[in-house]
Amino acid sequence: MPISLDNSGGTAVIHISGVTSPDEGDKLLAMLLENPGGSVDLSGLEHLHTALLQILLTANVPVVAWPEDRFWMMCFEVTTAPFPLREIG
Amino acid sequence: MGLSSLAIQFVLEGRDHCELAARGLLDLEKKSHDPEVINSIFRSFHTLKGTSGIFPEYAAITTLTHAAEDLMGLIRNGEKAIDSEMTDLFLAVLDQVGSWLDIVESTGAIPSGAQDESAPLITALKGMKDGSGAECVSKLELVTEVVEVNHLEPILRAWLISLDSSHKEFLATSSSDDVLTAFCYTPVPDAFFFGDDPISLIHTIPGLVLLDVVKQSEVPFDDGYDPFVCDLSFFAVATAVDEVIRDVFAYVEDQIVSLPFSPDLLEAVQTPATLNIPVGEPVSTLTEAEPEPAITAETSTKKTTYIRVNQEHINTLMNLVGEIIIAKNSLPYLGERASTIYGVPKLAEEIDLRHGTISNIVSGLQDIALEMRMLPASRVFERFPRLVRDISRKLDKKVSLVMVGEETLADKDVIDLLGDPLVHMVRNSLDHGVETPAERVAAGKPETAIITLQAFQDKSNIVVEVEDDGRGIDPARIRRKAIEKGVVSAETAAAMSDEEAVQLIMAPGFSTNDTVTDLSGRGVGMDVVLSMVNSLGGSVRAFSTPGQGSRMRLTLPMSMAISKILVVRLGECTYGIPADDVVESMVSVPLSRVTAGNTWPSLEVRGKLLPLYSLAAQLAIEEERAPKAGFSAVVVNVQGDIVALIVDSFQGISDVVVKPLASLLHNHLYYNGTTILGDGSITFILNMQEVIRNANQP
Repeated sequence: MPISLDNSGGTAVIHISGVTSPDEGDKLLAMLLENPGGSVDLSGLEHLHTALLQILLTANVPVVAWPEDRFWMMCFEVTTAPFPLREIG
Repeated sequence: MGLSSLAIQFVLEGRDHCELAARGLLDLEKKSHDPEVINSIFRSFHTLKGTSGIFPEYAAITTLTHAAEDLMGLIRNGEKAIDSEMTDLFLAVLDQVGSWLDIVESTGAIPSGAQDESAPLITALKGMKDGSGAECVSKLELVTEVVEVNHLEPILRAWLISLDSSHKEFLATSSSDDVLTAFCYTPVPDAFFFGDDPISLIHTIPGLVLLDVVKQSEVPFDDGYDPFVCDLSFFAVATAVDEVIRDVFAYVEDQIVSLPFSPDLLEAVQTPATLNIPVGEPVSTLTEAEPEPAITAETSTKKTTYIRVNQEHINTLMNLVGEIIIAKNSLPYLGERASTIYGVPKLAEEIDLRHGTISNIVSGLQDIALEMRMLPASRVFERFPRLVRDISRKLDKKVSLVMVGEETLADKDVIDLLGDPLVHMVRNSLDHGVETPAERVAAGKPETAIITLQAFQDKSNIVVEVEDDGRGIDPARIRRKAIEKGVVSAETAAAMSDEEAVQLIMAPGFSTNDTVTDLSGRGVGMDVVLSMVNSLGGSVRAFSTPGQGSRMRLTLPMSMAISKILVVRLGECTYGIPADDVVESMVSVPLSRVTAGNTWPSLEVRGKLLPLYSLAAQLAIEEERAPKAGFSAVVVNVQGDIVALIVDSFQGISDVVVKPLASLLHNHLYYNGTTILGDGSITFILNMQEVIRNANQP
């Protein structure tokens, strides 16, 4: 399952992993609406579909762990911080 | 196999794109090289390719539409000129895709041999693409494209200016070592549905050094949030050169703009504008102090929004509205029983009061439910440009189709049912009415014939006319044929006026053409059209001026779902007369107003003498007999034929849901259907046109 909810630690953490598709949009949206104050763990992410990226940006949800490909961090972070030029290939 | 909601959406939107592209291709034949139209067709093929690409099992659609898109791309770039052969080929591609979509809808998959089936089309498309077609560069088109893209450029410039100082410093330093390109990509709101995943395109840009993903509007994150409307813009700087970036965005080139980066782009001349981006709208000035209004949730909720609804749900809603009308109609009967049988008049009053309240609510509900089912005539008209083009080419006739009143509304069932009769009538016009160009010139007419398809509203009916300026219908020839075929006797034919004789083309078993063609002479004739339309409570009338043309007029009720009827009583039974046909209900009519005639008596009504018949006798319930003093009569007017019909009594006007007649009775000409009245009794709804026609026959 690319999207799963972990409620064991007190605050909800939504794990998004692997390759996602727009079909998962409704599920992610429902999880975020049902768990305000939750966060997302992208450590296992390979590809985040734009529809899901848009949901995460709109929900302004904190990311607790980033994937290896730093491109995904650029999608969330660069609006507030400069990104080192040579670190992205 | 059930389709996923995404696949259902794909089928629905796919059909829209097939229709849109086909319409565009036909438009293109009239105004060749219209860049707007070419772009629209290209986008349709592109979208079909993109959306089908989401479903690996529909690869045949992707491959075929990709090939069509490639050829259309050359036409768009002015490298090829579109001609009739290409148009035929594109239309064949759309037909193929349309038929696959039908199969996908019913079976969930496309046929296993689909790839092979479309191979000849793909070969033909590639052949035309690689062949040395006449080159045609449309400068206008190139200019248009530049203008289309340009509205994003000021926004990209504004973004560069708005960067914070650390970013600017970083870019300025980097640009001394590398060639940088800045770009902005604003996908269309429907991008996800088109199969586009914008971020995946950005991900493939080599040498991405700065990325800023910006939300275009401040939509609140709550239950009403729609995650499938793309609301993002992507601003970025990369070490890749402009060509590489343009290549990545080749299929969405109207949604991006790029600029070679130079440090002076970071300097503001004046205060930069806000970064709220109106998609597809040119930004007039970016240097204005007042920011562009942001697209906020508040403004977006003011827009009328539409949703697609499963047709079955609308049908169910309509059926439920019908049931609630029947239930509501039972209240007055209940009130009457409360008073007369149970002796509680106070309760009867209260029931009446409640009936009024419920009536108002039901009436509102009924209006909305009916309105939801209303569709414009364009739904049925849109097939005709293609049909007329194909058939006239096949017959070597020159025909121009004019369509009027496409916005006229009618119930979706009526619109759906109009299709077949109209196709038959238009085919008849093309096949029998319109002459060959040589014949037309010899008759002193322009080479190109005109067929006019016109829809308009008449009271609660929709009227559709098919008119041509062809040879018209010769009444003498019709009479002769009708006698030959045994449709009428020689005496009857001779007694008919020319106008009546023309109506014989709709008599069962009549066909005027000596040779059966594969167009209109397919074993069914206008009689089928007539019986189909009659069964829906409508009528067909033919008009003709020999040598000048003919006109077929088809009249159908705008809505078949709920009808208003006048309920009359004949003996123990009740019958419904469509309220539209009723002119007047008369009670206690003195015999002094009845005049005996040679064939039937007449009734004086408002200074006019109207034929007076017994409705019971017309329906063969009883023998014709003379009216009694103080009788009741209803005056009806069906297409100008006004007659008075004797009835036993009136039971009032009622909104009813008409159900089609069951198998044994469905061919009965006098009845359109049945309905359940408020007291639970079943009533026949009369087809007054047939009743009057029969009554008027000597």
